[in-house]
Amino acid sequence: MSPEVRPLKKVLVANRGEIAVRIIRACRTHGVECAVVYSDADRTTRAVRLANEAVRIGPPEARLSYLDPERILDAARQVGADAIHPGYGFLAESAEFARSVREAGFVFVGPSADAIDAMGDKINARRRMKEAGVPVVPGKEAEAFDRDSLAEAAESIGYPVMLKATAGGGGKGIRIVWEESELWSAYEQSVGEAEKAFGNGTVYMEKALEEPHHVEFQIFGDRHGHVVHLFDRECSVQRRHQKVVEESPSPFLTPALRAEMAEAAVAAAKAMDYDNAGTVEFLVDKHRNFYFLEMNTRLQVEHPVTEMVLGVDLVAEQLRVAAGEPMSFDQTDLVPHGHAIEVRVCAEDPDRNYMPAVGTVQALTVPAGPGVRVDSGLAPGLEVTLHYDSMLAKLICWGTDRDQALGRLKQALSEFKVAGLKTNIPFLGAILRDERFAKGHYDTGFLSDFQPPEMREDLLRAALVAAVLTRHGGALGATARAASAPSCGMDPWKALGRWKRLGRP
Amino acid sequence: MKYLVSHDGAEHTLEIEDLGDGGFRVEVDGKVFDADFRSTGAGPIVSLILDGRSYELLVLTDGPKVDVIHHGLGVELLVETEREYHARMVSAAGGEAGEEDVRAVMPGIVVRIQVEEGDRVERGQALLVLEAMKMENEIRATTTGIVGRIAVEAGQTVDAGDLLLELTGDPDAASP
Repeated sequence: MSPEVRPLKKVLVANRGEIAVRIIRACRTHGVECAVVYSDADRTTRAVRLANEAVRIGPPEARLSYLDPERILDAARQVGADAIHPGYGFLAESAEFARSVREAGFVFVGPSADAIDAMGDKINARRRMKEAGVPVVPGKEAEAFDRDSLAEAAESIGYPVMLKATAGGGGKGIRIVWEESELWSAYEQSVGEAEKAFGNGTVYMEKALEEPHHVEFQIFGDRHGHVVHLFDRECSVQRRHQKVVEESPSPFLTPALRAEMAEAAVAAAKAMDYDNAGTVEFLVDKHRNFYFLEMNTRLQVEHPVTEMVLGVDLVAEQLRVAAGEPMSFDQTDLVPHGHAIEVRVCAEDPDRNYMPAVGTVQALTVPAGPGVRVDSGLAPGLEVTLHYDSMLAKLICWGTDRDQALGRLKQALSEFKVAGLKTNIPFLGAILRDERFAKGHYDTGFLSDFQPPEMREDLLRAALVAAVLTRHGGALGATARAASAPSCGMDPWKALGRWKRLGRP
Repeated sequence: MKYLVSHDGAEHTLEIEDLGDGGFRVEVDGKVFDADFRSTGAGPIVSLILDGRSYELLVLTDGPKVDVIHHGLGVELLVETEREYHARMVSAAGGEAGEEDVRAVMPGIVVRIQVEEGDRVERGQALLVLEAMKMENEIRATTTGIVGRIAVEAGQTVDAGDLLLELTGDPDAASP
């Protein structure tokens, strides 16, 4: 089964934000031309500015632009691309899209449509994994529940139970239910969310495990029959089922457990005849039992921590494999070195329970230094709207051990400043300074009872003084005042106060 | 000039003397510091040297509400002149209980409304569902009462701060 090798000449990036930038970098690094699509909201973004070509595909609404397969295919034809990279989110896990891309004569940078189909439906995925001998969480699958069958299923599995969209991903459509009185309204919400996000409202039920850890294995396959794993990532710092911090290796796994799980991950991938990048997600309970959670048939947001400890470029590898070539490494080449931790910087308002925030980036300081990597779509002037995901950038730090990686990450995060909209940077800083996190003793419940540490006395004093002097209006020296004063003569400090309201209609 | 700063329930008194050219004499809760405070030319990112110790801070102001972010941590402060502070103390004492407007805490789309005008609702009961970035969020009653006017309908786009519905405290309800 030797597939035809068809070197890629031009890739269309069917995504936006930091991941579009990431893919463009991989293309340009390897001498592959790249074009990016953009909606009217994204004309001046970094991805558009960095690509060789850019194609307008529609209005800001995702369903009329990034989620419309026809517009993506038209764009690919227009620029004469030979491949389409979907990134993550949007159409990345649509089997139908993968199929129509290939039927239209393009290379789809990702796995087979059959693998996406099989893993995209979580009920089907559970079944396939059981057959492959991979352990799954006890649960109940049904096309639709009514009040009685739902209560019955929860009773037989035992509270707490999780409700999950079968077509799910990214934490959407997930509810945890502790008692029967909450069950039906949680089910209705989960169905509603799933219908909206995935166009499929089927929801299934699973047992919620004791102090579970979310640990996943990066896997990779090619069309020459090779499948490898690229070790683990601990992703247990989650809020509302969204990952916030990820690291590799997991501080929780023992070497024996790591080897056992890696073997299960490879077995899962082989059962699917998997090619290209994928991730097998597991839950590990406090007794170190592990269960298959789901398989993501795409590049993950948190792929950089794996790249940092293994010294590989997963996006470049995706392009290589998509062209029909064998992977550039085999299992024995993959030896992890050191430790990497990633935080996701999001536009979120801590005053409003970390709801998505909007605004225009007015000023920006991006960290750098040894072992520091920033994957970002941020630029001064960037307008953050409600049309897309709230993630702005990822900050990843590598060290020879976990302490060094964490030290670098704390320093880098303290240098990271985004003005013009609210971000979760202070929240991330608080997590990194938490004693349990520092020791690596945390599970997926970590953020539910998280208390941010107090600000040190001298730091608080500096904050008080800076706040008062800012209000006092005395910060600007004569030259700075002249340079930054708006022409209408408005007090520049009043203008600063208004910045965070900019960008709202 | 004297300011009162509230932080996390604690109050601090700061007295500022402007020495010109970015220099200040600052008294924080009775202790005196030399401050050199400059704009960096990058908007609200400022540089402060306080008794020789250097800090880079992000200072976001919204009237008296000031968020300061530095060293990867953030604090929310209320910075007031003496006059503003006393005015707030007076108005707080005369506040009305039992009536409130339920407002959108974030921009989004109203997915469904789970109550009708005139309904009696319990504190914590779901009133409506608001969606932002494909996440559904239940908006719950913060008090027991009667639903007054409903200002939105399903499918409508709302901004943060927009009125969703009016809730009038129920005279029969036990006060929380």
